[in-house]
Amino acid sequence: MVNRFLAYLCLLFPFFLTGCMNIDQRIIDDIQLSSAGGYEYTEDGMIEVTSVYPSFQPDKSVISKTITDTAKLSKEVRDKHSLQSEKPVVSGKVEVTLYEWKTAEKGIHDLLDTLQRDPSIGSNIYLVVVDGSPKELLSKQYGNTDTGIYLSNLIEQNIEAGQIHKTNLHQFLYKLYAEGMDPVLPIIKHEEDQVKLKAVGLFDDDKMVGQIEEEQFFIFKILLERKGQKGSYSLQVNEDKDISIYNISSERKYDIKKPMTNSEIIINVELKATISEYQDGSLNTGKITKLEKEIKESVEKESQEMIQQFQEKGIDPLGIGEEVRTRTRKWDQKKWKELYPDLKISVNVNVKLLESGVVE
Amino acid sequence: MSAWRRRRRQSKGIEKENDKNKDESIESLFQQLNASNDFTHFTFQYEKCSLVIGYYSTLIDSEILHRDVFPFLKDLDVISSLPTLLPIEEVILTSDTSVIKNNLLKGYILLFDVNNMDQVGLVKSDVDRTRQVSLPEVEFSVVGPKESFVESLDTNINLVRKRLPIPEFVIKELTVGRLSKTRISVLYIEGIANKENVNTVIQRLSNLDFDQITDSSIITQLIQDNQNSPFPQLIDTERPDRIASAVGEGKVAILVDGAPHGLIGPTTIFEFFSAFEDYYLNWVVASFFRLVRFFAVLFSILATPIYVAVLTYHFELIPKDMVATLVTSRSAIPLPPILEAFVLELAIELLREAGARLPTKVGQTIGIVGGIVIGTASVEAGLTSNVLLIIVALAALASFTTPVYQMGNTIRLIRFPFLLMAHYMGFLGVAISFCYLLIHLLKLTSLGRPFLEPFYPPRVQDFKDSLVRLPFSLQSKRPIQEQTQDTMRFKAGKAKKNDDPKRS
Amino acid sequence: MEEKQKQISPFLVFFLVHAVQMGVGVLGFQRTIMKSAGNDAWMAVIAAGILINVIIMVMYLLLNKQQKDLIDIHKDLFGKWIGGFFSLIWIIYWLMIGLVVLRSYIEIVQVWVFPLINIIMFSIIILILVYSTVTGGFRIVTGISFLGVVIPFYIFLTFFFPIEYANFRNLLPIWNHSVQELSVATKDMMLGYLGFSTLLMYYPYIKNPKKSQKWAHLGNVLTLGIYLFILIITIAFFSEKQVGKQIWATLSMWKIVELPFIERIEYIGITSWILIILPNICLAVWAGSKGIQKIFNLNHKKVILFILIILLCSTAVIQGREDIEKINQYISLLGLVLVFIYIPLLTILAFLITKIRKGKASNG
Repeated sequence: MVNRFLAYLCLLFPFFLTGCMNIDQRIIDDIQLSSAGGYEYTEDGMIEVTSVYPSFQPDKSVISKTITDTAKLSKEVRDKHSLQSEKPVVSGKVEVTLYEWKTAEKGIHDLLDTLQRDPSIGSNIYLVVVDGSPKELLSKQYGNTDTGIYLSNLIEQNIEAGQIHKTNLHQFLYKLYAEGMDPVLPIIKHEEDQVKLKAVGLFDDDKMVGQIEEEQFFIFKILLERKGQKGSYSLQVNEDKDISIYNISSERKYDIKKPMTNSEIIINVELKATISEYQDGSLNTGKITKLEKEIKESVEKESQEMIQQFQEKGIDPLGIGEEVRTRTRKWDQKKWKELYPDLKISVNVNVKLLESGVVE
Repeated sequence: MSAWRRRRRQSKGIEKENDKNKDESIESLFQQLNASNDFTHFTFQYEKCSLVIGYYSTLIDSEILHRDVFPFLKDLDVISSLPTLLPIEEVILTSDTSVIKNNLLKGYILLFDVNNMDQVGLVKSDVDRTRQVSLPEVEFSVVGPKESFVESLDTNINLVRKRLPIPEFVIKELTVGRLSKTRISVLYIEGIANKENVNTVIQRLSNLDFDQITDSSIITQLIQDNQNSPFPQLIDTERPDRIASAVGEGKVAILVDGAPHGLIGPTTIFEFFSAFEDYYLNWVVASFFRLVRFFAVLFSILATPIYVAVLTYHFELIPKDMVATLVTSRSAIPLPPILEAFVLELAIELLREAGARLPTKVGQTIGIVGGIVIGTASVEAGLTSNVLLIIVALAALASFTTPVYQMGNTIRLIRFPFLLMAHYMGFLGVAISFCYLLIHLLKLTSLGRPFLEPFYPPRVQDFKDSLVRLPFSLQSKRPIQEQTQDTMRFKAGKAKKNDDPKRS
Repeated sequence: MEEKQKQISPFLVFFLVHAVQMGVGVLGFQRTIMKSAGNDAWMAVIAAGILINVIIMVMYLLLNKQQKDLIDIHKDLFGKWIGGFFSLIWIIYWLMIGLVVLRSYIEIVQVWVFPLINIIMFSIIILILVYSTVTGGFRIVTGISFLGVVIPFYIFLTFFFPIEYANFRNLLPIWNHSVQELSVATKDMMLGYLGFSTLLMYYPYIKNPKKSQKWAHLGNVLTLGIYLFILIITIAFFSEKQVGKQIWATLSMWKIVELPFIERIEYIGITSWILIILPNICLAVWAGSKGIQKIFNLNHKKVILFILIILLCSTAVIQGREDIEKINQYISLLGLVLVFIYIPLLTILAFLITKIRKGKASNG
């Protein structure tokens, strides 16, 4: 009896499902897949959100379109966006979010909440700060692809090539919530139909307080990553004679004798590199040893300066605090914050030039 | 309803008549037989007796009649001397009219003396009008024997017995079918096959009550454990070597007269995905092919539902580089993904069905014309997306890799509930359908043995010949599934290299 | 002991114990235990696992001696009425485990995949699956437990992807928390291991039940291993405060995984999880229905149907995060009392009573 009842139930199932399941469909061609969002605080404290979505043309080309609106909350803006759009705008395929310079300086924590809370947004979307207006940057068409994907490819490519450190939403949040570390974000700028990765923005908590310029990317990267690879560094050796090296592997180790005291913290960096360009004649063993020493000194000097800059600003993008925290019991964030600016932090670099390319 | 009742009453009437026939006289029997035009009878006047000869002209071999019967009849004096007189072994002497009738219908010649009707003689002279043993069509293999069963039970048994020339190989014969009186043989090896399995098969067959058994597939449907399951629970094969090997493994085989396919049981789901050629190829190659087939099955069931689920609900999953491809291919299509998929799946089913019903040559043309013309036209007309067309075509192709035809049908069928559920609930629907499928398979048994073995119940030993086929040196034991009496197949490692004569 | 046809091999107990422990807990246990034990939470996972192993040992002491299931032990020791009452408490406990698993899973689906999903319809669908499994008998329940462990195992491989972003230094410094904090975390962790007590019901269904003990222990160890693996990756992947914000840290970790053909693995994960929770609910319902059937002598199928309807109604009644959290707390408390106080007491009592009875029998 029961079985027959169940059999009938199964037969009726499709009808039940259509009527009662109450799941709303989001058929891919009936929605607007927003691929990037730009955030900007307006003067009266509202948020202006620009969202880009690709419009797929029948001839397989893609045109980026943007919608802009302002509201108090960013999800509210999304609803307003839908008012302007023929199809509902969804954020599940957002690849990049952009923050205007001033907005970044004001703090972006509140803007991140929606990204964290929404289950349809992945953790590996990129966050970037824009030098200029995100609205303007997003409304341009770059090449034949969608702007969001273009920007995401731009950043991804540079991370993979070792130009900049690894960055995404998860890492930003990790550093934001970590007690002994401050987040960083790449800064992009729109220059004549092109977008350029310009600098790395340094954050104190969620507020941007400074930048690292393009020339220092290499130094920042080897100090930040426990094990790094790729990326190149150039240095003037003789008058206008330059050398450029390519990072084969770098390994960073902290030497902290007495954590949470005033004692010195030494950062040891083991750098193995190859020479990718050398302008000053041919190379021999003696010259290479000399070069190693010169590179070492230069890297050390620049690192020290960079760290000093961080200490002055009271920020810790390198995560020195985290290193100390994992070496102490009963860690006290406040006490560390007081200690940090006056700590002596030195960098000790060991350079080894392994190869010099295919010519001598 | 009433018509059905009437028919039923009639069939009961026939039965009663049969019973009555027992004490009927030969005259009335002749009357009954004469109703059929192919029944011939005539009287011969010999010196010692006047013989009546009767037979169904369509059932007997007239050559036997003229060569082996007529020339000897003139020496006949009494019917009881027939067996010694004729050069034919099978001569029956009886007076029972029901025996006479049954044997006449099997191709015997009836002989009796008009003056002495106490005893009649029946001489076997049947003719087997079936085709010759030919190439297997459904389970063709490049390597290995190329014989396949035909419609004659005796030929089929001969094909198997040739491969198992041992006295322990036993054949039990039953007759099933009220109208068709089909001979069904149960084949097994005494001492290897589990008695329980044999008894189950024989019991199920002898308890069958059915009118016409025209093929072995009817037997499958009638005796398998769960008759409502879309999954066949007995393997259907046309290869005598497969039957011989299965019987040697301890399984029970069933051969049906008039059916070019034999049945094997107990079996597991994995055996439906093993082609017999797997045993003729190197084990690495064979295992690879089996894994490919398994992947094909999963692909065939899941590919279209996943497409529907992703496009209807889970756009987040699509890699960013593929979004453009998918959206542009769908942008002109007015149908939701589920209808799009249904239209295509049904189109493919139509093509298959049309191809199967039509003669081979026309069928091929239909396949090509339908596939190319309808496919491209529907894409260009904007009814389906080309991405889906590829997926559906591949899925259909994948379903045809299943070596056992009936399992292939099942797989094509169970795709549809998956599709529907994918439409209603996205991935959740696919997962739920998959769970239901698993539960169903768990509950299935083949002759009382678990159908999912060796996966569940997990039997590591039986994995050697399921998803993969390991080398023969590891196959020295018979599978646990059959619970055989004798578990050893052979001694492993006899033909090892180190005993070879030294080569200088 | 049951008929041989219905019995299962002893090593399948491994899957039964493991399957019923693995539930929705794995998806979000981190926050609760890291609240009190921080980066030392992994010790709590191990401690809880070891304690559970001890209890499994005690259970086997009891069962090996008695050779029957809990209902019969109760009947034997306390008589029909009081014994039946105690059995009912256990049955309610098991059913609540089933309920919590079902409802929490539906919640996850609601939050992560389909916010508008009709809870009742969805429960009906899952419960139909449960019905068709449980009516198949204990062999089928074992089968689905086995498949529910083996098939979704690929999911755990995906947790190797977050390692790319992991900082294993986060595990340091070890012993940064007091024993008290750790014990609180251990107590909270217990919820993740509950459910194994269904062993008390299916013991008679095991062939050579004494041999199954090591498998039960190993099953528990596998659960421990999986919890530990996921927890260590969570600690390394998130910073401590960040974990505090994640209700389902395991699912949040999946958000980082990006495969060339699938950009977001969590949708696959959540939907595959149905195969992990199914044995969980099935086993709980089976144990409960078998218990009721034995106490009241009713038709098993009808009991199952009755139980499923009750489960269905309860899932509809529970609304929102808060209710679920509350039920979780009740169940974890009830579970702790039953498992850590009741079972040892029952074992001692059973030992004493049989001894006294034996004494009486020999005296009289």
